[in-house]
Amino acid sequence: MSNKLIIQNLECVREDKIIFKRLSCDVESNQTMLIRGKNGSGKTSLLRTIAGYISKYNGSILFNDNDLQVNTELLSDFRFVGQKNSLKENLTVQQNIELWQLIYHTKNNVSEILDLLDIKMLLNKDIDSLSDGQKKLISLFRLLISKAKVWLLDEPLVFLDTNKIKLLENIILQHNQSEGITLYSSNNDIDLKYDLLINMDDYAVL
Amino acid sequence: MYIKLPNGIIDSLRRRLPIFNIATLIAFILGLYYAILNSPPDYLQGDSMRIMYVHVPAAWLALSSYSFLALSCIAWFIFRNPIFNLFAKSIAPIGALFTLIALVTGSIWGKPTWGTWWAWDARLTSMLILFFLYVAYIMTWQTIANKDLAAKISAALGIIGFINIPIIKFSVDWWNTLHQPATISKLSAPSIHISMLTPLMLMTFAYILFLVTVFLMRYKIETLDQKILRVSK
Amino acid sequence: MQFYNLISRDLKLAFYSNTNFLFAASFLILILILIPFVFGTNISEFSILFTGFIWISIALSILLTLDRVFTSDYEDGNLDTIILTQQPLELIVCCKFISHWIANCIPIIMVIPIAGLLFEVNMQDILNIIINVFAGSPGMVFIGAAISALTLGSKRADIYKTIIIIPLYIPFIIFGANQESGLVLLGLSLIAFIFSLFTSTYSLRLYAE
Repeated sequence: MSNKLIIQNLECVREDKIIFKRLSCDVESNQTMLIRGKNGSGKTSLLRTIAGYISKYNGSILFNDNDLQVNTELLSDFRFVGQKNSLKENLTVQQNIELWQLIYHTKNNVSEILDLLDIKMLLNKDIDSLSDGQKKLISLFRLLISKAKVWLLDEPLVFLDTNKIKLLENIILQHNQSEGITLYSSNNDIDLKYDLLINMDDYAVL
Repeated sequence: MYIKLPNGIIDSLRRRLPIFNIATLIAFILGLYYAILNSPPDYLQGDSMRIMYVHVPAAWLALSSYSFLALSCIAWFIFRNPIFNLFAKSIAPIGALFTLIALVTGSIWGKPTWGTWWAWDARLTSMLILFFLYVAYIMTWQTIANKDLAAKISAALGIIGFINIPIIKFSVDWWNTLHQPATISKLSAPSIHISMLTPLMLMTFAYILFLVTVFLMRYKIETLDQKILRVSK
Repeated sequence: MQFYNLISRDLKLAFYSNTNFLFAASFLILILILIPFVFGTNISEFSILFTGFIWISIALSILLTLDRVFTSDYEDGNLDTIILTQQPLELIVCCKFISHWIANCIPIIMVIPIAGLLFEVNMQDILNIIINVFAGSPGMVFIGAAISALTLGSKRADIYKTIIIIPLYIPFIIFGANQESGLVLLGLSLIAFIFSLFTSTYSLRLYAE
């Protein structure tokens, strides 16, 4: 089953100010879309609008031909990894993972994911003793904890070194190959491989 | 969404601000003359009850200002017109001031009458809480950077605080401690003499004029603030 | 099933955190320890003060741990994660209420009999207090949680959060100090629940943006 995300004529208004307008694009299974743009051009707003956090917008976002504003239950197949890590600083990695398992309602064996992300040796360390890059990596764990169709990554490359970026690229590739869609925003010069590019500066209203 | 500028009434009132200034001054001079010099001392409390002429209107207006604030908040939720937020925002510091006056004069009056500065009775306590509610309302606007969000949160808080108004009114019955029962509300059989009612009414009138004057000034400032915010966006 | 998962998630979090169940229970005892040093050692007067101090320590322990209900999850992004699972917000909020009550008030209720022994309060009084606390404390938790949800986005919320919450606790304390008003307290808690559910879902919707 293939998936399709269509954005039509999207306009985002926050605090009486138009952030961006007339944004349209199509993303299909096995595609990665990169969202580029200056600071404050609305990259995060776009991702949060797609994820349904910002519910007031003009235009439409369709997922498999269903309007996401109406069929909000489809959003449970989306994963959003924002700039906040969703980590409890005073807890260990293991404990954080247990809490996520309860949120996502899964009891899957996590050792495979731990191997994939190469974080097994960190399992019993407190989060606040880890480096920013390690925290970022662990926060990506949420993507893999249960099967999702669309990944929305807000600045996932910040703090990651070249090896970890390579790792993330592979993970995204695997996800896309199983009919997944990935959207990510980035301000860096280094990019992951991408199929589509959207430049927010073209739509932003400054 | 844009700020609908005040409809005719407020604008024309604002243009007559100097008149309000003078009227307030005259009303206060007249009221204080009657209150201090031209009214009989109370046969029980003596001259110390004259502070009631300052205390009672302040307490009334403190309560009604909060009612106005809360009603503006409710109206904002219904009509989503920013003008109601400006109303609430403009009246909050004035209400806080009246509450403070009522508290201070109340306890000055309490010392010779009850022999204590402060009694933990219902009305005093809820008046103190009313003061904190005003402070909380003002603080919301100052601590939330996102003004759109601040509007929503402060409106909600204003309404929550409104729950406190009936508590103030009925708390006298709940606990029924030392405080005198509300005297002026019994209109059919006024328990205060007409010679005392005149200065009380005059003082109330002066207070209302003061409230309107400061409200108009503050409202002007708030609208200008909004304009600056809009332009700088 | 999701209901159960979310509650156990919050309880697990409370258990793992430094301020866990032990904190709530010892908090009451620690507050009570102060009484003799303030009022002397005339035991017969303690039993009068006892009820009051129980309610004050409940109020304080709820206020001190309010950050755990919504604020910490909001700040580290877990609230985003929970909301995106598309459970109804009402359900999420209910889970937060219940788990916070369990983590905070149940330990206090369990310690009350022991604390009563320290101050020679008779069994009947202790039973009355426990019934009152059982009926009233949920309402206090709900109100505290709702106000902290409402002030999520404000950096200096701690000060005025307290200003707003304490007055709303007054009715609970008045009836709580009065014996045999368990039904009134239950009614208050019910009203508080409806009000808090509405306020919290409204605020979460605001802050998700």
